[in-house]
This record gives sequence, C-alpha cells and structure tokens, in this order.
Amino acid sequence: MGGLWRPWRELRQRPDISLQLVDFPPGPVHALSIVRGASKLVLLDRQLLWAERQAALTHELVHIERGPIPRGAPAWIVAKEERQVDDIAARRLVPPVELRRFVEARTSVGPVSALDVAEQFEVSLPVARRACDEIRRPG
Amino acid sequence: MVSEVNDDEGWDLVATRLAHEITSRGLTLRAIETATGVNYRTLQKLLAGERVTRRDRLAELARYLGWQGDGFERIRKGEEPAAATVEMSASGANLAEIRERDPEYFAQLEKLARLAIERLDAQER
Repeated sequence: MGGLWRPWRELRQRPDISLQLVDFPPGPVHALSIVRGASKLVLLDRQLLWAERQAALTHELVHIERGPIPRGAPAWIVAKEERQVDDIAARRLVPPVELRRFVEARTSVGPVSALDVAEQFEVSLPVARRACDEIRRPG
Repeated sequence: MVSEVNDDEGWDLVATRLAHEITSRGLTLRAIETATGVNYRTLQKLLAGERVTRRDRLAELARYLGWQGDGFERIRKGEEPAAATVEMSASGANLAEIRERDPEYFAQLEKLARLAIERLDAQER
C-alpha cells in the first residue's frame, strides 16, 4: 500500500501551503483552511490524534484545491460542498479499488467492519465509514 | 498601500462610516468591544469623530468589519476600505451554520485565523 495518496507527502510538494498546529477554542471545529490571495494556510488542532490529523489535513487540502467557499454562502451550499469534500478525501485515503480488493480478500474470514478498514488503511473511523458507504453506493 | 493622511483629518468620515456599519449590521458597541478588544470608550470617541492614535486598535476594528487592516486610513482619505479576502473552510463542520447559530464561537475561529495569518506574514517578512 506504499502508493496510497498521503496528505503529508502532498503538503511537502506544495510549498505554497503553510501548516500551523494551534490550540482551537472548544467546539466542533478542529481544522481550518484559509486562503488570502496567494497565501494558503491550514490550521490543525494540536489536540487531534494522528489519524484525525490526517483526515483533517486531507479535507483541508481538498478544500484548497477546489477553492474556498465564498464568505456569506448559505448553509445548504456549504453543507453540499463539505459532503463532496468529505467524499473526495475518503476516496483519496481509501481508494475504492483498494477497498474492494481488501473486502473481497477478507470476506471469506467474516464480515468487514469500518474498524477493520480504519486499521488496514490507517485512517480515522469516520473516513473509513465514508469510504465503506462509497463502495456500497450503486453505480 | 495607503498614502499618509494628516493625523487630524478625516475622523468625521470615520464616525459616519462606523455609525453606518453599526446600524446596518445591527451591532452593539459591547459586542464589538468583546470581539475586538477595542474598548467602549475608544468606540465612542470614534463615533464622535475624535482622533484615535492606537493604529493597532483601528486595524483590529477594520478586520472585524471584514476589511483589510488599513480600512479606516482609507476611509479618512475618502476612499473605500478594501475587503479582506480571507476565506475559511472547516473540517467536519458547517461554518455558515456556526456563523448563524453561534456568532461568538465563529468570532473566536475568525480570530484564530487572523492570528495565524499575522504569524505567516511575520514569517514572510
């Protein structure tokens, strides 16, 4: 699995993006991407665990690639964009082809849980769940 | 960069514009004080058209209003303040919802972002 997309490697290849580990205020937000002109910055909560940092960094890198959501955008547009970004991030960290291969190989042993996927691909549980949802979707 | 303007000029323009922003956005002086650290008395002075010498306070207030730090200097010259072009996205949360539901928490996140940008600017300098 050495060829998997990894956010830290991606970050090293993007000198235009800075990363800062900071203490976030108590609340639901633990990572932010900030774009100001040509400056791009990712803030990660230093309290995040390793897999959570990886998921958050991936999410923010995808945001930067896609361009920031304009300030003042209605909540439903933000929610839609966040879902798409989460899907892309999950596909990057757990590619569907690799996941299907893993599931097929493991099915003879027993049902595969999101926790198994999280362990196998070294990702957070929410990312693993989203990746599993992705390959269950028809089409 | 804004060219220099005489220190005594343009404070009436600042007063008019600040009063307009407060009214149109439904802000209170206490809310501004809490979010920016610019004290109530200073805000009253600005609304009265009096000169304020603390440029860092003015820059803080300008950023709070969504402008670049030199917003009030521009206003004093009769120019329009430039909008801060900072855009934020959050992982695992909807910032638009947070802004509506919990403006105080949103202000904390904006402050966090602002400080991070200032650190970045300092590094680049």
